[in-house]
Amino acid sequence: MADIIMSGLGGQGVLTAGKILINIAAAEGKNVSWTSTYGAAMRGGSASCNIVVSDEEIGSPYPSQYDILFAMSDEAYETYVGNMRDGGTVIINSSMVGEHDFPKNVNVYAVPATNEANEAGNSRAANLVMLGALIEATKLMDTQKFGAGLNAYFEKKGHNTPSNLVCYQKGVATVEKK
Amino acid sequence: MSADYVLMKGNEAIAEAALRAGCRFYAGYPITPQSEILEYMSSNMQKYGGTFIQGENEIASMSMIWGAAAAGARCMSSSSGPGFDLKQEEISYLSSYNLPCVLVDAMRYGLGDGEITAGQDSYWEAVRGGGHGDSRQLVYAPASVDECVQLTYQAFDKAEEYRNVVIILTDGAISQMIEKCTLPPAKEHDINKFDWTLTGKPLGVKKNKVYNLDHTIGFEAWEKLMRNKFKTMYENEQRWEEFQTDDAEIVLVAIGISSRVCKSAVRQARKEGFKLGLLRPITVWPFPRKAFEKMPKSVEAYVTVEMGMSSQMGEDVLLAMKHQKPFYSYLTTKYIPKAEDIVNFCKDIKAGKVQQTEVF
Amino acid sequence: MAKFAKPESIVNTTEYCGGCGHGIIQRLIAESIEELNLQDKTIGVVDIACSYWSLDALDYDMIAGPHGRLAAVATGIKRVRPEANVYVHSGDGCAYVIGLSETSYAAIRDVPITMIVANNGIFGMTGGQLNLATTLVGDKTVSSKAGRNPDTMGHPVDMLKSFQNYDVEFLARGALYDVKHIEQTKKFIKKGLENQRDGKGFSLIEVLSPCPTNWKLDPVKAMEKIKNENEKIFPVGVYTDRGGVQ
Repeated sequence: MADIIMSGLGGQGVLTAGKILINIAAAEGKNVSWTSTYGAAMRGGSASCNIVVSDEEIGSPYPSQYDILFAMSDEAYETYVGNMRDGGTVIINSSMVGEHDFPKNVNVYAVPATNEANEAGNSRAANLVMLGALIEATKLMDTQKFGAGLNAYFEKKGHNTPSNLVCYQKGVATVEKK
Repeated sequence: MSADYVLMKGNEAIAEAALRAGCRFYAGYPITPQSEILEYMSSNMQKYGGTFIQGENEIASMSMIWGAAAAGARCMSSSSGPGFDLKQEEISYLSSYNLPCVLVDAMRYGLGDGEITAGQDSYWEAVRGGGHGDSRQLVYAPASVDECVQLTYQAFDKAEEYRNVVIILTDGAISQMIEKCTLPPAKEHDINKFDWTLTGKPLGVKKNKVYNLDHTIGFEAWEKLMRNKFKTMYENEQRWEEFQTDDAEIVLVAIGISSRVCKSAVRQARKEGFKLGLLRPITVWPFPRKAFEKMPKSVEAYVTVEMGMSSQMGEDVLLAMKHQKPFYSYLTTKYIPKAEDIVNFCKDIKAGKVQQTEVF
Repeated sequence: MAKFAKPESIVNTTEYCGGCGHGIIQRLIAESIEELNLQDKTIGVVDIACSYWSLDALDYDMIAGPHGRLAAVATGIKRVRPEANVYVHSGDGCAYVIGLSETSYAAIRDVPITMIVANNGIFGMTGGQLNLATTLVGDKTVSSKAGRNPDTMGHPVDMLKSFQNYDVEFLARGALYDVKHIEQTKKFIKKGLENQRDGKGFSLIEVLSPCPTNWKLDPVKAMEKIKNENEKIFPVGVYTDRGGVQ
C-alpha cells in the first residue's frame, strides 16, 4: 500500500514518528515493517527509517523506491527525493527544508513543523506535526482515527500530554500543497 | 497474523520467545547488532525468576551456560561477528558433552571488525563451524520477526531432543526490524526433567559425570552416538519454504533479509511474466537438500542471493542439486539487495550475459 | 584430625603422578564435605587438566569445564541450583592464567561458591611449562629452560593479594608439606564450604602443592622446595575473612 522513508536529524523524533505510524497502521489491520540505521551509523547526526505498510505479506522491508517521503531536514529531502515513485507524496518540514525546484513527478506538501511545535510549547513534537501533515496529505488512514491512535500510543508509553494531539492536529490543519 | 499480534524488533522478539519457552538462564556480552537481546533479558529475566548475567567476555558467558545447561536449565546466549567467534570452543564441547542450549548469531558484515550493519558472510561459521572437531549444530535462519519467535520457541525443544546446540542465525536487518509477531504462551521448564543433569545426589544413587562421553561409554560407542545424533538431525530437520517454484525457470535461493527481497523480486518478475521462484532454506544446517530433489523440470538455473563478497551458500546449493544445473550467485557485500537488481540479474542470465559463479 | 579411614565419597583410584598434591587436595575436599554432611547436594567442577582425575574418583555429580573457566561454569550451576554445594577444584594455570578473568569476575560478583586452587608453579598436564602467575624467578621449566627471567617473563604474582581488592567472603592459602599445614589447609577448605552452606559469598582457598614429576624432584625434596622457596613468595594464612555479607 505504501513504501515510506522517514528521515531527519538525530533528535527530531523521526524514528519515533515511524513507530507511531506502524503501531496505528498495524492496529488498523495492516502489515507493517520498520527498519532503521543503527549503532555508530546513527551518530552521524541523521536518522531515518524505512516503513512498509501493506495489505499483503511484506517482501523487502527496504524499498528502493518510495511512495511517501517524510523529510524533516534539508539533507533528508536531498537524499531521498530522487528515489520517489511517480505520483508519490513528499512531506517537508518547511521550517528546516528550504526552497527547491521540486520535481514534477511528485506532490509536495509543506508544513512548518518545527515552528508549529515550538509555538505549541512542545518543541520535541515537530515529528507529530509532520505526522498530521502526512496523514492529511496522503489519506493513508482516517485523520481522526490516527489522532486517537496517537493518543493511545503515548498513553501506553505512560507519558502523554494533551499538546501531542494538538501538534498532530496543527499538522493536519496547516499542511499546504506546494 | 492473529489479532493478538505485538510489534517487536527481531532481537527483542527472540528474547521474549526464549523467555516464553522457559529459558531461565541467559549470559552474554554486548555486541552490535544483537545487544537488544542482552538488554531485553536484563530487563525481563527477573520477572520469570531466571538468571541474567552480563558476562566478562564471550567465553565466560558460554562457560556459565555450560554449567547452567548441565544443571538442567534452558539456556541461551547471543552474539555477532567477532563475538560469535569466541563461542566456538564451547560449541564443540557442548555438542560433545550432549548439553543443549540455544545461541543466536545476528550476522554483521565483513572480516575483522568489518561493519556493524547486516551481512550474511558468517554463514559458513554457523553451518560449518562449531569449533574444533566434527560437530554439527541445528541452524535456523528466520526471515521475519514472527519466524524469529516461532523458531526460537521451538529451538529449545530441539536442543533438548538432540541434546545439542541450536543456532538462530539472523542478520543485522532481521534482528533490527520491527514487525508484527504472535507470541506463544509462556511455559515453565522443569530443571529436574532429565536424568542426566547435575543436581547433587545422595550416597548410593548413581551420579552424573558431565564430560567427554567417550570416557564414559568408550570411544567406539561415543563415535557412533555422535554420528547418529548428527545424521538424525540431518534426516529429520530439513525445513524450507517454497515460493512460486512450481513452474519457475530460475529459482532464487536465499535466507534472512535477502530472502525477503527475493520475494519482492519474484513478485515483480511475475508481473512481467518472468517466472522466478524462491526456495528459502529455514534450516541451513541441515541444508534442505530434499527440497532440491522435488524442484520442477522447468528450472533452468539456481541463483543464490547473499550479502557476502563470495558465495558461501553456493557450496550447499551445488551439493544439493548435484551440479546438475547452472549456478549463479548475486552477491551484494554489505548492501541490502534490491529487488529490481535481482530481477535484472536473472534476465541477464536468461539472455546468456552472465558467467556461472565459481564457488571457492 | 585427618581421618585415616578413606572418605566414602572416594570410590575410584586416580592416575595422579606419585607425590602429586592434587590427590591430597581431593581427599581434603572429600573429608570436609563428609564432615559437613554436604555429600547429597555436592556438585564438583574440575578442569580438563590434572584435577580431571577427580571426576571418576569422587562419588558426586561432577562436570569438567573448558580449560580455565571453571569459576564461570560453577557460577552457571550455582545460579540454577542455589541450594547445591558447588565447589571448584582447579589448578593455577586454570584459575590464575587462562581463566584469571573468570576467576576474578566470579570473585567480583561474590558468587557463593568454594574454589580450591592448587598452586604448583607449573603447567602439569601439558608437561611442565612455565606458569606466568606462579613459577618462581629462576625456576626451570620446559618452556623456561634457563629459569624464569623476570625481565622478559615478569614476576610471579600473589593472586590472593589481588583478590583482596574485591569484596569477597574468604581468601586463604594453605600448604601440604607437613601434617600441621595439611590440617590447616583442610580447615580453610571446610571454612570455604561452610561459607557457601551459610549463604555467604565467594571463597577461594589456594594450596601450595607439589608437582614432583614436572619439578623433576623426588616427593620429599618437592615438599622441601615448597617450604623453603614457594612459601617465601606465597605466604600461607588467611587473607580475607569478611564474616558474612556486610
